[in-house]
Formats: sequence, structure tokens, C-alpha cells
Amino acid sequence: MKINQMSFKQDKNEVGLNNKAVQVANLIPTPNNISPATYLYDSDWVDVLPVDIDGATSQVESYELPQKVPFEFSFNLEVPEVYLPFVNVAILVQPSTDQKVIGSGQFVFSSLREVTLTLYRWRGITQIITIPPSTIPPPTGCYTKTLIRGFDYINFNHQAVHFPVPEGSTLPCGSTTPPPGWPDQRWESEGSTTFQGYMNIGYTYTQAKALFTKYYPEIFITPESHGIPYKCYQRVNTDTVVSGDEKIKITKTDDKNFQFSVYGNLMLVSPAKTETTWSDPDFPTYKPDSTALSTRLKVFFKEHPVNFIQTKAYNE
Amino acid sequence: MKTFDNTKYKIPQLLNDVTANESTIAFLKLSKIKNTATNNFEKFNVSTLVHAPVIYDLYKFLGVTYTNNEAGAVPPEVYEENEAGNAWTFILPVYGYRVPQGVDPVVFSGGATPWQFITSINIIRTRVNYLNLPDSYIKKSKIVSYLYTDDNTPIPSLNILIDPLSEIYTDFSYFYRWLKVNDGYVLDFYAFFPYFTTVEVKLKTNVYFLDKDLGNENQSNVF
Repeated sequence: MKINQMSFKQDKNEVGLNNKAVQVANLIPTPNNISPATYLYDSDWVDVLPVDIDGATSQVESYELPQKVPFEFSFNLEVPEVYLPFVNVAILVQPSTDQKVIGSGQFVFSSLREVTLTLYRWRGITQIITIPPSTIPPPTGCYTKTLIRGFDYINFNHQAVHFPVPEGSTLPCGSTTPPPGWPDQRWESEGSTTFQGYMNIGYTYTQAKALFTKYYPEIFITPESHGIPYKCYQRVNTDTVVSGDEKIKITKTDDKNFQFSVYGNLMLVSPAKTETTWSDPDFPTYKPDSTALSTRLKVFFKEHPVNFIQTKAYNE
Repeated sequence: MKTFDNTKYKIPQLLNDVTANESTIAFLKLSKIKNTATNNFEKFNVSTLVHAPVIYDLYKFLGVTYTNNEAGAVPPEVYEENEAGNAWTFILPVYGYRVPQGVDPVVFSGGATPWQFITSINIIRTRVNYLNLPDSYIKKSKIVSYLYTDDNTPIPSLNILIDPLSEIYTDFSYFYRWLKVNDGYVLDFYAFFPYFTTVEVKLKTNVYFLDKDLGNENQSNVF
């Protein structure tokens, strides 16, 4: 009888202890709540001004173009050195509705470049009229022979003066170096010339336009009504990767004080809307159209070097 | 028999104990769970880099940087002649020419002159081999660098202009990279900051592996 009673009571005690243990277990901190971020410094919102990136311009109004936004925050932390690896900084930004802040990106910048031609003068023979059989002078491909009324007419195939060669092209025959034994059978460079330069040597606007349009696709020529100087532009697209950055400089001022400087550049993307004043009226150049950006620095401890010791004890 | 007697005695005694325990348990109150914060140095590992700064003097070139007179391009080794052979351009850095400390820039450049001293700089290149270090350690690593002086003397301004054209200053900067090698990782750490004769500015760099033990390491300042 007594043994049964004792057994019953013992079982009950064990249940009671178990219940207490469950309650204790529920109170043991989980990884989510043991080390909430502890804020150490907050700069509050400050306005910073975007800075244009060299070359970040476009002739296309809808392009998104980047700007850099320099920021610099300084603050002092009074912490033991061992806490430094757990100090984290966060740069917060508050862009307006048409601004985006990104870490890095690839952009197509478009710009205008004035197009030129290189002009050449043929120093050699331009026409020979002779009785067959005749010999065509070198270089190969420069002359055409035609038999007319018993005479061979040997004509130079190209314009002998101000012969235009577009950039990246070569002469149609011969070169500036004469063939052996024919010292005059060569081209001589007259130098490169712009659209206006071509008109200056005697060609009309219509002739110059026809020539430049023939050699260069997708060019822009200022309208005749604009007057001198006329310009002939080609759009040049450049792929560029732009990145923001963040640097942290720490200086120890005494055993527990560390002076932090957090600085770098945010990258801001905004639509290209602002036409710059210097651009040609017919070929506007657009730059990013952004306003000041609000930034904020928050400094906090994360993943503290802290071990939570569980005190497992009952008090009566 | 004694044994029987003892048993007889024990059973009521045990019953009493159990009964007492029952009432004790009823009165038990949980003590407040006490979370005691202590620095746990076993949960992460620190590796302090041994820096061996190399000191250089920076100079500005005050001599001829471009000339149409061949006799002015002296010594010819530091000038580049153009294709037409009628102009010579100085090919060494005009601003921030780096010379090992104490070496005459005229001698170091092979005869170019004159030079004007700008400042001295520390250049740090430290390589640490972490052998048998798995990827997970790198993900949990953090590198903290700070400048200090032994007696907490204030550090002078580090922002000394070297190159006004490219706007290059001597301000403290550092860079590091992890290189994966067959048997672990190699950490290459580079730093750059002014060297002052009035106060010795030092750099301390710790590599922390959070929640990890450190593998074998060995360091060198020779690449």
C-alpha cells in the first residue's frame, strides 16, 4: 500500500519537475532574440548633392544616366577594440520618385564627334593619249584604257585633287609610296578636313553634304540656314561600367576610442532630361536631371561577441 | 534480519521524502533567467597581421618635361623622342615620383634633375597563408584596420597632395584580396599612408573569423 502510494507520488513529482523544465526551456533565448542590433550612432538625414560623371551624357532623351553622390560621415566610438569587427555601418538613402540608387551598372553613353575626311592629291599622270600598243603605268587599278578612233586613251580613275578618304578607309589604288622607277606615281596627303574645311576649299553646302552623307551613315549635318561654321557629327556610343564605393577609415585615439570616417560614393541613376546649354540646338546633349539626395548613416553592433549563460536554477 | 529491518525502515522514509519533495516542487518558483553577457573569445578567432612598412620618398620633378632641343633632354633615357625626331617628352612621373627612403632621386632616376621633396609614405604589402581554410571561413571573416600611435599622440592630417593634376592625395587607403589556393586561402593586404618624422603612425590589422577556429597560418611581407 505504502509502496504504491510512494510510486504514485514519485510519478507525480516527476511530471511536476518536467513541467517546470518545459517552462525553463521556453525561456531559453533563441538566436533571433539573443543579440538585437544595438545602435551606436545615427547621423540623421543629410542632403548630399550628385556630381556629374565625366562622359555621362547622351543625345538620347530617355536614357538613364548615372551620377555619383559623394558622402562622408565621421563619428567617434567608445568601444573596446575587440568589439570592432562587430561594428557595422549602413548607409541609408531616400531617393525621390525619379531617382534610383544602385551599386553598379553598365551604361551606354552617347556623344557627338565631328567627322573628318582626309584629302589626297595625285602627283602622277592623269591622262595619256597614245597609239597602240601602249603601256598602262603603275600602280595597278589606277587607270582605265579606252580605244577611240585608233588612239588609246589612258585615264586616271579618280579625282586627282582633293580626293576624299573617310576615316578607316584606304586609298582606292596606289599609295603615298611610289612604285619602283615611277617616283611621281603616288598620292600626297592634303591633311584631314572637316565639313566646313571641305567647303572652304571651294565646294558648296550641297556638294559637301552629298559627299559626307555618301561616306558616313547616320551623320548629322547642321542645316544650311544655321550658317558658318557648319558641322558634321557622328554619334559615338560608349559602354561604361560605373560603380559606387564605400570606405571606412579608423583611427585609434586612445585605448577605447576609435574615430571612424565612412566615405565614398553612392551611385544615382536618373532619367536624362536636362538639355545642356552648350549643345548644338539640333543635336541636344542630355545630362542626368537629379536633385539632392538624402542619406543617413547608422552604426550598430551585429553578432556581438557575447555568450549568453543560462542560469538554470530554482529558487524556493 | 537486518536487511529486512532496513527495508522496513527505508520505505516509510522514502515515502516521507517523496511527499516532502512534492510539496517542495509545488513551492518552487522559477528564478528569472539571467542572461549574462561575457566576451566569448572562444567563439571567434583573431589573426593579427604583422606589417613591415617600406618607406618611400615622393618627389616632384622641376626639370624639363618637353623640349624641341635634343640637348635639353638629359639624360636621354628618361625622355621619349617623337616619331618625327624633333621633340622629347619626359617619361617618369612628374608628380609623386617614388624613391626608396634615403636614396637620391637624381641617382635613382638615372640623372634627371632637379627634384623637389613632397613627403614620405609607408607602403605595406602583407601576405598571409591560411592553410586548410574552407570557404565557410572566408564568408564569416572580417578585416579591421586602424591607424594609431603608441602614446595616443594625435595623428597629423594624412591628406597631403601629391599630384594636383590627377588630384591624388596620400590619405590612408587599403585594399585586400583573398586568393584561393589548393590548400586554403591566401590573404594579400595592401595599405598606403604618409610617413611622418615627427610622430610614428602605425597600422594595426586584425583578421577575424567569426564563430570559427583559425586554421594554420603563416605570414610574410615578401610577394
